[in-house]
Amino acid sequence: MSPISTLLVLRLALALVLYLFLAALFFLLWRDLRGAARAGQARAQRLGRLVVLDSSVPALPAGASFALLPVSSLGRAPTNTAYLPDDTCSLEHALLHQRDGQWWLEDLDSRNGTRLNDNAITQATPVLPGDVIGVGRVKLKLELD
Amino acid sequence: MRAWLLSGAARERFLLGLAGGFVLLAAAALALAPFARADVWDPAVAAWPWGLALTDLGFWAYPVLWLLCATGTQRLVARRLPNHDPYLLPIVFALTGWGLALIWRLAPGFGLRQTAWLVIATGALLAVALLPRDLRWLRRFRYTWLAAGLLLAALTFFIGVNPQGFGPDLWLGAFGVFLQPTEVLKLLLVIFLAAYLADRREQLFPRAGAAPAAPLNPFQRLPYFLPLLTVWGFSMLIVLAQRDLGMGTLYFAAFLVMLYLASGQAAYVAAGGVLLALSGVVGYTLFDVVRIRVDAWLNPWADASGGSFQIVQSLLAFAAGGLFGRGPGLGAPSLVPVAHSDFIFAALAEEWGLAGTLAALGLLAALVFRGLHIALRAHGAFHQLLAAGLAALLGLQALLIAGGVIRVVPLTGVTLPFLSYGGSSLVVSFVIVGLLLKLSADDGPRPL
Repeated sequence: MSPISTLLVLRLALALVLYLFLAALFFLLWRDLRGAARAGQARAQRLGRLVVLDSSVPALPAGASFALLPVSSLGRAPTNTAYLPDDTCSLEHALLHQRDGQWWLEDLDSRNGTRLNDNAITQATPVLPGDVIGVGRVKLKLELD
Repeated sequence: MRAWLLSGAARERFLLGLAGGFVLLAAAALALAPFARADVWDPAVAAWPWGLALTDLGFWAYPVLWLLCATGTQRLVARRLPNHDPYLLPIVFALTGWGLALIWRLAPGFGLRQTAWLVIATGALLAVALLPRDLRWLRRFRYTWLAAGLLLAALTFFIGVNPQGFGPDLWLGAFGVFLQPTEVLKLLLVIFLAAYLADRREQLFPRAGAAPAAPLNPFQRLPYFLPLLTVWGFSMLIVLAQRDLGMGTLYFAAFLVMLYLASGQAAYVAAGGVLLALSGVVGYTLFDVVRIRVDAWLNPWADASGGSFQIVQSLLAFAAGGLFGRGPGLGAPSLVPVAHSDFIFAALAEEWGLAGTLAALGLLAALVFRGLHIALRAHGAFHQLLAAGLAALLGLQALLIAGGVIRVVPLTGVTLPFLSYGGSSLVVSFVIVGLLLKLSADDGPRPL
């Protein structure tokens, strides 16, 4: 075999290995991303979310939702899980937390009180899917998948 | 399919194996090239057009040393940092091995030197990645590190040299070894910015709605910006006084990226872009260096054999390369002056074609992607800013020079990370990778 054709074979092998490397790299990166996205989705779906019902607050359009954490806080401070920028909400207004698969709502001594289906609550109260939580003048519905 | 290469170590070994095959094949192709140019198997007849001799032991040592560095690093890092990012090392070593092949082909006199630098750089990477302590020492002594970097860079004004014998004196030399302090300074600058912004983020960029930690009026917040601006101003002054346009642009862009990452406000980037354009206009009217670069960018053909000779030769190299290139060792990339350093991307385009340049850009893009991924998963503002800043530094530098040689942006002389010839650049790039490895393996604050 002449040197030119030998080198051509080598060049083909080089191109093959180089693009095999790239293909394997990008395939593995893609698989990692897909795996991470699925894990994140599954986590968010398991816990459910709070959906804003009709509210007079411009920053909170009806239908906006907050993904829930095992311990979720509601209030006017931006550090809350559900950040409710409204004057009728206290900074740390209420707490929604899960214990043994059951959601509980607790008022954190807020100025305007917390309501569950229009009844003011005074102690930790169990919440079912579809219940409406009232925080100040904001109304939020608990939705589980 | 499900169970294919699930553990990080298996993925790393598989990719590194492919990279090893590529680098060894490239070395073999390079050794074959002189025979192919003459198309006879007779070593006496085959011309050695670029001065590479098959009897040169250094040439045969480079694939062996590369292999030792790559496998050694993989083993040590896998043992000491079991949770490290598995993609960084294969990408980096594939690029470095490719760069060595290009340097041996373009400037065999520098080949052994760069191989030695690879060994030193690997040592630096291992030292940074395997230090038992966490990275708090970087954050705590940020002013000390930066002052040392500035001092080193300022030394070039008094005892600076240029290894080529002409051009700007950007290096410090001793016993035939040269160090480019501005390369080190760029790393120290990013570390300083990450540390300062992580500590002062609340005061610099108060969030709307949060209890303000500082006055909301931007002018009253100026004292918090002052250390930042002073330090960055000193760095810019040094590189600009040295007429090192590439480093100047890189520092400025890295500063903007870090500000954006810390503040999340695009206004800073927009303002910085306007400032950069303004300084370009001012530089164009005041300094010859800038005017030559911008003129060569706007119309290289006006002075094709003079001021824009290099860029014109680079464009011709790209044209000669075509889709699949001339083949390793079969082109004439030495027509581009100093092709092994800033213009290595043009040589790559000529001999490896569009296929090669796309592969190189793909590897660099994957590297930046992994860096940002590490930043997203890092614990704490300092670690996040540091990882993202380091990744941005590598990406910006690659964009700046790759864009420069194909006339997308005005040409500024920086090295193409991992591929170009240059010891300081290689060592600093490897230290960056070492830091990223360390950051990726961090499991967060350990319980006491």
